[in-house]
Amino acid sequence: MLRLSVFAWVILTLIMIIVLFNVKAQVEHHNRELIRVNRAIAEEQEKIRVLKTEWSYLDHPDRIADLARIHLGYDTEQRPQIGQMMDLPARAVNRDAATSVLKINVTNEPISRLGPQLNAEVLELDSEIGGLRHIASPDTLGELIQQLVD
Amino acid sequence: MTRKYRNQPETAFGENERWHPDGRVRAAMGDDAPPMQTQKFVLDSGLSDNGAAAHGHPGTSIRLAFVGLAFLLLFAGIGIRLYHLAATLGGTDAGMRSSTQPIIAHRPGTRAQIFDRNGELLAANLDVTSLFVDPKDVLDIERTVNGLMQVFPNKDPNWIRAQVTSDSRFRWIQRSLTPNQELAVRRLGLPGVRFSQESRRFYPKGDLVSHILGYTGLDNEGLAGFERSFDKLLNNSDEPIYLSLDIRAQHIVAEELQYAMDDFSAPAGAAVLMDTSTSEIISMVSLPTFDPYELDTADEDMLFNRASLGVYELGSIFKVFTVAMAMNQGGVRPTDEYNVARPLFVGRWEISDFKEYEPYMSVAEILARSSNKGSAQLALDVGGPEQQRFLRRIGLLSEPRYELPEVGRPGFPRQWGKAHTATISYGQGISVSPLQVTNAFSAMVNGGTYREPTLLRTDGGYRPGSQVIRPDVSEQVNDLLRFVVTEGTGRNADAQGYQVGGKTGTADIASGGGYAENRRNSSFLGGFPMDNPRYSLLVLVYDPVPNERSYGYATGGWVAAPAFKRMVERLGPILGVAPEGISPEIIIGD
Repeated sequence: MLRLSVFAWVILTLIMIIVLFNVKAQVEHHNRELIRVNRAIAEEQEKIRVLKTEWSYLDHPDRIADLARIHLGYDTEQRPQIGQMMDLPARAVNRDAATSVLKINVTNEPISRLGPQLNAEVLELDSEIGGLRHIASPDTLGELIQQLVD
Repeated sequence: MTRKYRNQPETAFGENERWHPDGRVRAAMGDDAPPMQTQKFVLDSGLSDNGAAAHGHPGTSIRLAFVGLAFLLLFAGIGIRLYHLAATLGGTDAGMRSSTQPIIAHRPGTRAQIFDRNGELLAANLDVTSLFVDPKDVLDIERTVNGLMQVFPNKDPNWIRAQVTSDSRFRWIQRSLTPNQELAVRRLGLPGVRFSQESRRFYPKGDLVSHILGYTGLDNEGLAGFERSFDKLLNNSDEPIYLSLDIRAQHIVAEELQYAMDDFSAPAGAAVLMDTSTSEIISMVSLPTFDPYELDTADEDMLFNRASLGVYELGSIFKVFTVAMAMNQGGVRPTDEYNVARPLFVGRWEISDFKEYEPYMSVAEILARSSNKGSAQLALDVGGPEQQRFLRRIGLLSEPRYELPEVGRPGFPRQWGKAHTATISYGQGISVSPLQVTNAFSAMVNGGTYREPTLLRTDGGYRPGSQVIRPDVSEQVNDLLRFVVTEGTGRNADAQGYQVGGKTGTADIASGGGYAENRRNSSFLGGFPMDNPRYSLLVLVYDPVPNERSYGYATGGWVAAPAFKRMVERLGPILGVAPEGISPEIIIGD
């Protein structure tokens, strides 16, 4: 009886050791995964911060006003606000023709802690050449940082 | 079994107690009759002495079971703890929780972001890479210098050589690299050339909001403006802050103010746009402004916040407050008439008007045609002490309390004599900041409730205020202000469709104890739309020079009012104010 119980206890202890070892190994694995994911999230958040800052820089009212003047012919000096129905431009036949396309190239080359660098290229559909025409590829973050340094 | 005792009566010993050589009494557990005496008992199962005892007594198995249970509990406890330690890798529960939520945890060295009311980013910290060299690890000096020269062609090669060959172990080559520069340097793979990460504050809107945001030092400490007053909060939290500003409105106001300043060769100007019902500052502009990245080149003039730190004698726009006070306190009606023809002496001072008017003028005309004499009479009727109380209630005699550290202390006479009552009624002899006066104006037109100004978005929430004039008086003031624009000095401010109402102001600039010859502040303070004013706006142009188009005038009506009009025409659609009273067949274009 005593032997049997001792034997049972030994078996139980062994099972427990194995289970514990497994649990610990799994937890360590998950923990590594957790740290990796958290780091990835932090990096992603930093990238989003960079993009948002870049966007805010590109979204500067001065720049939008310039673009509106150049591309839409809208001049704040004239700013007609109330007009006749006749003044509305005719609807574009091909909607795509009036649409600029924002093409985003993401290179996966790990160049910095900022991770993949975003190269935004503004492309415009050009009816003459029948394809996308390249307008600009701003290195926005570079421009932002350049301001800081100058 | 032998039984012995010492100094104890025999009856005190139970069946299972035995004399022990150390002179103490041992007692077994489970005894029915525990000893009465206060002696120290030691647990003894009996098994250790004599295995037969386990079988010999009926209580033994119970004792065994009890002990077994105790050990089981003990080992179970150890087991649970072991499992717990394995599952948390030796960490505590609290530690686990925090390690699973680093997204919320604050990263030291960063600073909270600042947004405008619509979520446009105004200030953010970004990680930037800086480049330094450890000369001890540099293998090939020529290759290093040439490589770095390729990436930084503007640098002096001799300077780079000096850094690379210096005795120190740390020399900056370039702070804050652009991603392309960093990539280029990394591609060179130069030994001894290293990178370090820093967190820097970025202001993507540049000089557009620099007076409000202020700026930070190299160690991310707030040195001016909002960055300074909210330094602790910004440094200790990742929670973004939303300002009441609208960056689009800020742009329009700044652009039009600059246009007016250029037009009249004015050196400076300020403008404040507020929501009348919440006293939120929608736009606050002070020109000239400064670039937050180029503080070294910014002079005092540029760093000075004219909208809230500068105090100015603003002239006739004070007549709005005088008329409101006279109607609220003195029971005056807009149709009451005053004699503005006869000379008006207060003490040894004569109050004079810009030009001769017909003898009698109604209160409405006094405001619309900006009569100093009429305004002085209104104030003198109410009296100096009452005037002081009124101006104090609308916040014009104390520093405004709001989020920026740069607030100007208003200037007014300590001894408030009769002459002061008269001159202050039309805005001379009292200097206040543009922010203060715009906020006081909001109280005049919003139904009579004064609130402290704020730069933080209120999200439509109610802000407490104090009733300073009656709602019916406020309504009458609105009608009078509209009258000034339709029939009086403010005609140039009449933005079509937006029911503008307001008051012009032209004040001599104080200089050396007196007033400067032919130098003035031109201002226009108004609201729109006047049937239910939602926004109040002050335009102040400092020291404008008359031009041909203004027929030689540089008054508020000719300088500030047109700027006000242009601002309102552009602000209206953005702020969601629907134009009224315009047939769609009419084309408006300047």
